[in-house]
Amino acid sequence: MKKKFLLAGALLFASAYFAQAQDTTKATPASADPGLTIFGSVDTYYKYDFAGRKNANIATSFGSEPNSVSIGMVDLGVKKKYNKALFVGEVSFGPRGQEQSLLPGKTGDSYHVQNLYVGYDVTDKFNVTAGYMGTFVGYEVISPVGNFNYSTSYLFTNGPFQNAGLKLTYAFTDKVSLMAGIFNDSWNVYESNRDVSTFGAQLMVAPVKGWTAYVNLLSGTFSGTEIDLTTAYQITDKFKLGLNAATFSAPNDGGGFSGAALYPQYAVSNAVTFGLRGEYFKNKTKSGATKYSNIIAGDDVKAFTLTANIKAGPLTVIPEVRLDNAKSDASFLKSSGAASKSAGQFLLAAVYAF
Amino acid sequence: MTALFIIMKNIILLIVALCAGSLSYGQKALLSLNEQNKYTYFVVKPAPAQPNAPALAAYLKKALNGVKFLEATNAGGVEGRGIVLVYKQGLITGQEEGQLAYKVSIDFKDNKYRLILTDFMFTPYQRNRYGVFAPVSNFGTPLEKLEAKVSTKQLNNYLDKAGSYSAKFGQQVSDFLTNPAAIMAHPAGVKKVDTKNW
Repeated sequence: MKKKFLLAGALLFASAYFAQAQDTTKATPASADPGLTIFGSVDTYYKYDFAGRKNANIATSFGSEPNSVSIGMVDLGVKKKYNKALFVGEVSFGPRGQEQSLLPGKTGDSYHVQNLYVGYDVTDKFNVTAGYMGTFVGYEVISPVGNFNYSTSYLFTNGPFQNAGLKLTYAFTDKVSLMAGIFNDSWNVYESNRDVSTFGAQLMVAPVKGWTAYVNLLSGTFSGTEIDLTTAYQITDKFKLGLNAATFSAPNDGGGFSGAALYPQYAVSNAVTFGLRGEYFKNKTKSGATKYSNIIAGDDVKAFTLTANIKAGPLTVIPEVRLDNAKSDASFLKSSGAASKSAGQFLLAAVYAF
Repeated sequence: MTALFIIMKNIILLIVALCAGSLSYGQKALLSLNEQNKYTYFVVKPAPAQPNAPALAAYLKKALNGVKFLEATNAGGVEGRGIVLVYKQGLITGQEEGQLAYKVSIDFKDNKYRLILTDFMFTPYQRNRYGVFAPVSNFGTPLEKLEAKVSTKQLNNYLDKAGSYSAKFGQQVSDFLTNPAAIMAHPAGVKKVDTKNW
């Protein structure tokens, strides 16, 4: 009796397994929605400035607290697309996701919102999106999930982070699309200073397999004009080359900046990729007090950042060394407090994306 | 008694081992390798004498999501391409993991049709600056070469998705060719009934 019971149990178990093997492989057509999508990330880091103590010479965004185990942000977002309509809401908490990336509005609050917008596919090729969105300008982004390097470039730090507005995108083909939109006059805040008077446009081309390029324009009398080229080419399975070049002119002849950054990356294995960011950044303001990331008028800086991404599933560990060298000694300090033309830092970060 | 217990234990272990192997068998068994060693879904079935290729192409574009391009050829068949999204289970909800692009062809000869879905290329997705998941690049990897880049579980999942989507594609083709008038007269799922004739 016992023998029959055991055999029956084993056969029942086997049947359940075979049935499940069939049921787990349901077809999932392209528009099938898993329902509400929840995504996000958390990041933390330790940074040591070679000038020691609490010196933080390199004034680019995030990873800014020296000689401290510090936090980036908790980033949480929800997204749902139903047929042609989409919404995205993304909030962030922590230094990276609050005062380092969001400016308070007139009421003194940013509401922690990184993205809050709705979109609609009018046709297969034509999309309308409106709300408060991550900027379309530039190579790097706020979320650590979207960047290879943990520290950011001068071009990113001094460009727009978010733009609120309405944009229309038309995809001529898979390889060419054009976006045009109108945005609030102020960057990085969810409400305008005076009006909705900034014009933005983006041309996307994907000339060959693995290569995508964006030419971006953002222009308004209140925030100035930035023209930007962002491109990345996956040349081989292992080697990728990125380029970002931009020029910005502040309104009322208030100066501006220009620069270019190259991003070669090489994957030595599925889990480990090395990358180098080489950037040239110039404060093209002729004179006056206008600084960009502590780079004074007329000065320029060359920054070299060597970074590794070590992936273990959703976790990425990022060790990084960075050396910046300015033309003048007005931007950086040595450990003694004396002025210096150069600065360096070591950084170790961990990013968990979900 | 002890010997009997050992025998039963071994039988159960053997069954469990067979079941574990079958878990990954799933829908990927619908795919085979063609002459170029590419994963391919291939079926040959009876077809009407004069199939309406343009109508078939138009029907498939409406009935199946992800079909990017599909049109009748000069040879009287249908050719095109499309994508199917692959989802993964995120921390709380599902998320787009990537897309499988494919090429499809339907050819007719001697009252038969041949359906081929092949050239599956996988492109991973990543969350972009706008909070949506989008292709990392337009650089896809052939499904046959993914083994070196992803885990066995992931690869089996992609193969299952390719197989099940191809099977659904095949079913739509078969339904249309079996009874095109019925398919085109009535949208899927809507039956007509004559209430006066009873």
